[in-house]
Amino acid sequence: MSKQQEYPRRGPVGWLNVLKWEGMREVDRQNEKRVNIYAVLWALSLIGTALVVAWDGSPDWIGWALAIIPAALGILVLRSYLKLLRDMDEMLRQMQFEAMAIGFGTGMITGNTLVIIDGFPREWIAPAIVVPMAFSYALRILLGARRLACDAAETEEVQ
Amino acid sequence: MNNRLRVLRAEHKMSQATLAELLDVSRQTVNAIELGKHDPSLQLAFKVSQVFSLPIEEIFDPGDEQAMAAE
Repeated sequence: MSKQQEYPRRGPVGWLNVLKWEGMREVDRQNEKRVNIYAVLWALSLIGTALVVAWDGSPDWIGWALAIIPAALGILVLRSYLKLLRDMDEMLRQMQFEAMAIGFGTGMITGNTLVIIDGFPREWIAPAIVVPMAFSYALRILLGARRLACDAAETEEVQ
Repeated sequence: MNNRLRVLRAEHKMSQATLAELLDVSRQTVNAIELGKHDPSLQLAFKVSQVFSLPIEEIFDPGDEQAMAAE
């Protein structure tokens, strides 16, 4: 049976504790931790590979060889995220789906709008899609978590 | 969807956290179901019915949605 944890939800510390998902099941917590670790390693490997490739003295084959590292870590992120979704508490999973839908939609709308603007730099098209996508996804998760925590706090007083 | 989860929980002197552990969901999920902000999956509805030893239709009531579907 899953272990339920409780954290304070009042004041500034309470705001931060929303990120800990009070009441979240231990299995979800562990799965989420795994996704976060792989995601950080993936991001670091991308930065590292980009720096090595950008160095003038590096031979071409090094870039191809190093590209395997972020690709492999990216697959691990994907696999661990799928495991997180499959095992996840059903309401939190619904929130993840909504956040993904909002993120995808925001990225598509923003990206496509900017692309049709005359003179928009082509090299900024990818960031113009990815950045709004990532921010709107994260914002939806944070607001959803905050709303859940507030609802839970209100009903706790009623009990 | 309307439900009697809070009433049943009170009758069994059960906290949200205890029920959440029995159902293997987060406490927020139990809370959201009680507030009518989340409709449980069929699997979870069956678990709830097992915990309270009651048929699903005595715990959950589709309310207006069922009437609208009938029309």
